[in-house]
Amino acid sequence: MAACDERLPALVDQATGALDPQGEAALEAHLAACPGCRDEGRALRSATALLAATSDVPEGFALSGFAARTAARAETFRDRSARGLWWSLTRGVRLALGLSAGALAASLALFLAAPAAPSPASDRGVAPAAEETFAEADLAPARDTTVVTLDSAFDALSGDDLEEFDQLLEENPT
Amino acid sequence: MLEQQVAAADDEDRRSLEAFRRGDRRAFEALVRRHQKPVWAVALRFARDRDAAEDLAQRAFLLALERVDELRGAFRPWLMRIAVNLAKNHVRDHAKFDRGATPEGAHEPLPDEAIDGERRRRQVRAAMAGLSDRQREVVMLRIDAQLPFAEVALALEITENNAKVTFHQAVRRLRELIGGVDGGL
Repeated sequence: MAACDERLPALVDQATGALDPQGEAALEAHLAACPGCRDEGRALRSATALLAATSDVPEGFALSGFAARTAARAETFRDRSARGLWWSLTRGVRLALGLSAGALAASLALFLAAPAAPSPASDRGVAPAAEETFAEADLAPARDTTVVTLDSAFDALSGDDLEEFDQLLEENPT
Repeated sequence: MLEQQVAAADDEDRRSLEAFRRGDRRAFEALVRRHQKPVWAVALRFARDRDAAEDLAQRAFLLALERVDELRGAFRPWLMRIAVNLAKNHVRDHAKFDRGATPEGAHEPLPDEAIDGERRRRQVRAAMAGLSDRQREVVMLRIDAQLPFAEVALALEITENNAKVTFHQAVRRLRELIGGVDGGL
């Protein structure tokens, strides 16, 4: 006989030790009259107990030193991340300097160029040669630093970002 | 009362992270010690040996540190979700789920009832592979990470009721997988 669907959350709470006294009393009153829920409750408690028994960090398992080792690794990681942050923060400045230098070079080129028929580029206000002075990477959009949702952050954990993180850890072993 | 305790613990975690960013290493050590046991429990559920488990557990804390600016809400469920995701990636990357072996050094084998306990541990580890990703996540967060269902729901962005129903489905599935072996569950 199947358990009552609406009682399942309460049965789970009871099996995991999370049912308050009022809920416990209400559930027990129901179980007295419902064999399906009684059987399901019994099976849930047994299974949950087994899961819990096979879960805990085993008795005597030594965790000593783990916190210290992790903190040491975190320090190396933090220092390297700080250097990387400086590099990314200055990227905007470097890009602005590059654009300014390019604009200056373009102006100079226009000034020194022979007065010939207007070129299509001059209609745009930028000489083709100036555009070609920028490496593609310098014109790549800056990394999006907008707030990410929790969901997208978790999605990133299994993607390329995680691989980058793994590489960073390999470069900074304990 | 419980909510106040949870909020106070969360404030302490955030203060520890900020202190570490300012250079206080011991603050981070204290944070790790507060949460290491459930993180290790998640790691041990899937790692093949102690070294792999320690690496998983350590990476969970380091990834949480790296992503702390993206944290919205309580720290502990967020950390546990990271640990579960890393465990999933570990299984994926190693292309197999460890169905039998106990992590080396996890504990010294003992006679009699401990042998039976070890056998049950292997059965459960093998059966967990038969769960869906979501079912496994709920079980790991509730049982291994010891999060209340309210925090499991927050970590997985589902309702608390959904978390409990999923837990029930997972346990039912585990009973099917383990049942029939020495009386099953």
